[in-house]
Amino acid sequence: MSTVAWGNNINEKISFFHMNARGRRVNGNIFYSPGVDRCFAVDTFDPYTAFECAKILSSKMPAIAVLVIGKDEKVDVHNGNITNFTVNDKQIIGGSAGLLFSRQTPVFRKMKDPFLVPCLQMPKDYVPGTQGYDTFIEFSEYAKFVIRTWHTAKIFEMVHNFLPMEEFVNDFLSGEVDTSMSTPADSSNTVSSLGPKNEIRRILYNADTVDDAMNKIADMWRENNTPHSYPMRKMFYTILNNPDYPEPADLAKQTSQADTDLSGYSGYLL
Amino acid sequence: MNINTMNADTKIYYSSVNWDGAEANTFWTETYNEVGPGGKFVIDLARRINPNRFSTRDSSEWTLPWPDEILPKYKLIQYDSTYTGTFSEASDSQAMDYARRIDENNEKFAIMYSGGIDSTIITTALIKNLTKEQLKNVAICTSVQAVVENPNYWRKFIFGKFKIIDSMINKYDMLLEQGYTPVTADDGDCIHGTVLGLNFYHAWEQKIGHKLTAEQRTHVRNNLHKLSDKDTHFSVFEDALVAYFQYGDTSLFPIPTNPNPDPMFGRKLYDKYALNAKTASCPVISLHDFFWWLIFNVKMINCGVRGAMYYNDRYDMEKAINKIENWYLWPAYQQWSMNNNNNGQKIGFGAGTYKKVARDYIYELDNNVWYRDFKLKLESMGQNSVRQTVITDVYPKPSHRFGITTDYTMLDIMDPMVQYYVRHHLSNFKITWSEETT
Repeated sequence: MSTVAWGNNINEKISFFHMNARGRRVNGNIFYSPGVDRCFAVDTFDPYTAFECAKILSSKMPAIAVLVIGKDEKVDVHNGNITNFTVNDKQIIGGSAGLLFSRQTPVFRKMKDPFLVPCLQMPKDYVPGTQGYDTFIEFSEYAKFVIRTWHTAKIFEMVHNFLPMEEFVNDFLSGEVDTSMSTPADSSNTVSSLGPKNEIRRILYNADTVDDAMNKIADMWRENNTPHSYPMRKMFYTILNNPDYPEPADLAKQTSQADTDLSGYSGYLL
Repeated sequence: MNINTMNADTKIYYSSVNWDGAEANTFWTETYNEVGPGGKFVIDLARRINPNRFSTRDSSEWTLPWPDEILPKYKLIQYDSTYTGTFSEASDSQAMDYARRIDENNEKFAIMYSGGIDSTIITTALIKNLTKEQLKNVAICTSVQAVVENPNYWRKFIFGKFKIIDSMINKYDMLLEQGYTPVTADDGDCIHGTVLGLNFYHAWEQKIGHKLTAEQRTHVRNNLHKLSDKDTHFSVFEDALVAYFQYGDTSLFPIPTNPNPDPMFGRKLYDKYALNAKTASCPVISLHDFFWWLIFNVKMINCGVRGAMYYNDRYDMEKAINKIENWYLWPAYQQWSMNNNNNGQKIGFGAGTYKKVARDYIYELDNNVWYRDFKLKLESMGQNSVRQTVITDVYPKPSHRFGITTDYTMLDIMDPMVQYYVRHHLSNFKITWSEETT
């Protein structure tokens, strides 16, 4: 499995799109696994997307807690040392039950007091050399990849999708739109009715490894290669900024919308 | 007409020089390198305002490279300077005529509704003037994007009250085959003004400020508030307009960069527009008059026929063009439009008051202050049709539809015969409207 080098969130390209206090905001969203009793990722971005990332990861890890660090937390935590930490409150209530027993899907909490606890070693079931350790480290890497990739997908969609019809019908107009009306997810006019962003979310949810996910994402772009998906794709690979997974050569050689599949393009008709 | 009988004298009703990002780009680029200044101007006009689909509706001067005739449906009516009818009266009278047609012929109408001001005028006029029984003959062809443009109106006046047809799937050919008279407001901009003008009023400083001298910039700043002043001639803004009409030096899909750009193109285009305006069959004085006239006259036919031309893959072209109803072609609107340019009814000083009189008409029905005071002009057509499929069994790809002859034969720009015709006329086309002839 390829490793995504990603320790300092603030210098990531996706950070440019976030409020990060001009480079001074510290990592704030902690991803914690109750089952392993260790944290496995941290980011400095918005809490809403952090929670969505936990949902994507829930296909592999149950009951993830996304915990926001309070202003009094003094621990220097980053993605290079995150697996060395656990939390001091093992009974965080998610819904009506403690974390371990609540649900497969994640919970979100803002922590009032400092809660991160450094550990000298992993729990016995997950010490280095065990199968559990390898799986956990692999998952931690995948989680960091998901955080980075899902932010990227949301950002390119925010910039380039000018027809979020499905979202509006579901979120704002439920029951008020004729059922016969088309509700495409975006303006990409792609073969996929989900649109690139939602396809990426589904791939991240189902893939087992970074390599698996990135190959499927590349295939998704190939199958949905329209003039309107072109700027989404270019932005995706640019701000994902992953040296292990640049835009595949066959796609990178397309340098204009004119190089995409124009069979469904009817021209600028105004 | 059989395409094989086409010759240099073949007359056309409608033409489109259109970069398509692919094969047509190759043709236009090769042709550009072969023809003289006149032909280059025509192709550069498509580079500046893609596509180039302009032709005149009256006797005002607007030369085309190829022999042409005014499409009869769109010939401009005689200007009447004594006309005093209002926009509301035009809307009501058009709606009442639909009521008559329903009563007399049981005609069924499919209203192309985008949620924008122009199409909301249609539904508003019909709701105001038709009985419940008559409204049963009216269907709404629309998309979710239209709902989003005006959700309050949708909830109060459309949803559950009309038959809904999905415009994302149903094109004009399908509506015609179902027996509907499709009604489009696509010509709404033509009676009020143009986005080309709005962009100039709103963003001239950003677009061309760097091309003007400090003195010229000050001049525009000091005079722009007179854009609807009937005593301030549009030529007051000549320097800025020449700069505005010059095409840019960067490519924007599907239009490629001209490697040897014509530095005098802006001057040539201004002179062509200005000559057309000066020879118009009604007064064209103010800056808003000037931009209004461009779309009311030389762009109107494109706005009128593009539904039949590009959102119709199989229906007989003559029948489609003449059956599809352009709501604002109603003579009362046309006459109102020629008589009310500089009194604040079409625009105040910016985009928020564009189509002011239409906003007020809608407000009388829906009492929605948000829509009246904040609605912006959006280019709805492309948004509503983004998922439509294109079938090319009868007509070529929409972006290859170069035009129609006077017997409504479709011309495919990829057809060698059509390419020969176009090259021949572009090669012989001379710039006669400007002192810049080379």
